[in-house]
Amino acid sequence: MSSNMIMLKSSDGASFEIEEAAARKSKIIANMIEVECVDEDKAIPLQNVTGNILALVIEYCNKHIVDDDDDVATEEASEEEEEAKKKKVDDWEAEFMNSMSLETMFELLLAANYLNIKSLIDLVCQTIANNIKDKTPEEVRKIFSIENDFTPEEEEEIRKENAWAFG
Amino acid sequence: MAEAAKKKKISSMMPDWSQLPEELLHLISKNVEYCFDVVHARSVCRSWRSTFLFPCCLLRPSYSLPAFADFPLESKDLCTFEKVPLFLFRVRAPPLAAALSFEYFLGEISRDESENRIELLQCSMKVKTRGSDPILLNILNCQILPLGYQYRMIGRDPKDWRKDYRGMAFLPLNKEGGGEFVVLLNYTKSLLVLTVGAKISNTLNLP
Repeated sequence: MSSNMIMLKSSDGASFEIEEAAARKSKIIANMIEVECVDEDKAIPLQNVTGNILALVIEYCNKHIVDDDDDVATEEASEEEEEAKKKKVDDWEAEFMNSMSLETMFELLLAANYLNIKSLIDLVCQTIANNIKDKTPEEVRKIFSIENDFTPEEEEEIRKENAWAFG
Repeated sequence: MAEAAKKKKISSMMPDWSQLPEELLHLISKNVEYCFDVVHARSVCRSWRSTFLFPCCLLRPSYSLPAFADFPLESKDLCTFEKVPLFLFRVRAPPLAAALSFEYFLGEISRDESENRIELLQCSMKVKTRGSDPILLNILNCQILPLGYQYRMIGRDPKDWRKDYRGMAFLPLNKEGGGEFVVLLNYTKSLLVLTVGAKISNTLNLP
């Protein structure tokens, strides 16, 4: 395992040290490392990510790099062990997302997109989708602070489209 | 450090969800599985309406197929082939006042086209069950599970239909279920294969 450390710098000037293996979860950073435009003494500036969001991204990457290494080390792990490990990761992810507000999720999603971390994008999208479940459009607007921008005519059309009958 | 970050609010401003790049909203929409959650999300605002695609399990497509006057002669008439989605319906918590003892119902979901539509509340569904007047129920209190499709042929001679027709199967030719499909008809002792594209392209019969 590579124990190279690299530095990341957030848009608001906070510096973070992260293992190269964890940072490689981000395709953008991995590319930078490939083409050797990472100077060991200099931090990589991330213009679009604030410090508190970057801290979350790094927490996620660190957690998942450990899991990936485990997979390599114990290739013959039994199915049960695999399942237990998967459950541990799922539990961690649930806890990780659970402690977050929607505003944070919004920022985290943009950051994951910018840094190109596919698994984190998927996780946040799934969690946001769960927030839409079993809600009326009005409730969704309230939760997400979305303005209803339909014209009265469009609203009428939607009302008609949503007049369902079962039988 | 991360713990602190989580608790700390990014800013007092709520993020503007309409500024979320479309491809990300699209990814979110793909994670919304339940068809009525999608229907409700489509009613939130314009950008959501264009990103959340209308759930295909609620579509009720129909196609025109040739009618067979006297097999194997092909008639010029057309009959309608309809793909009707079926649903299993259950009220999660029946209202106490209503003397409904029902548990599960199998049926169709369609648009309520009746003229004297009661001023509909959001997320409501008019439910007609045998022997009772239609009632309005909140979709959010119901469990509505898609149960696949029933295929119907409309506009054929019913006498002929009963005598010769044995069964029918529907095979979509692509994964999405749109576009081309094959209708297999068990017609007396022949298997009739209709390949249907944008228009009927081929009619085969297998001995």
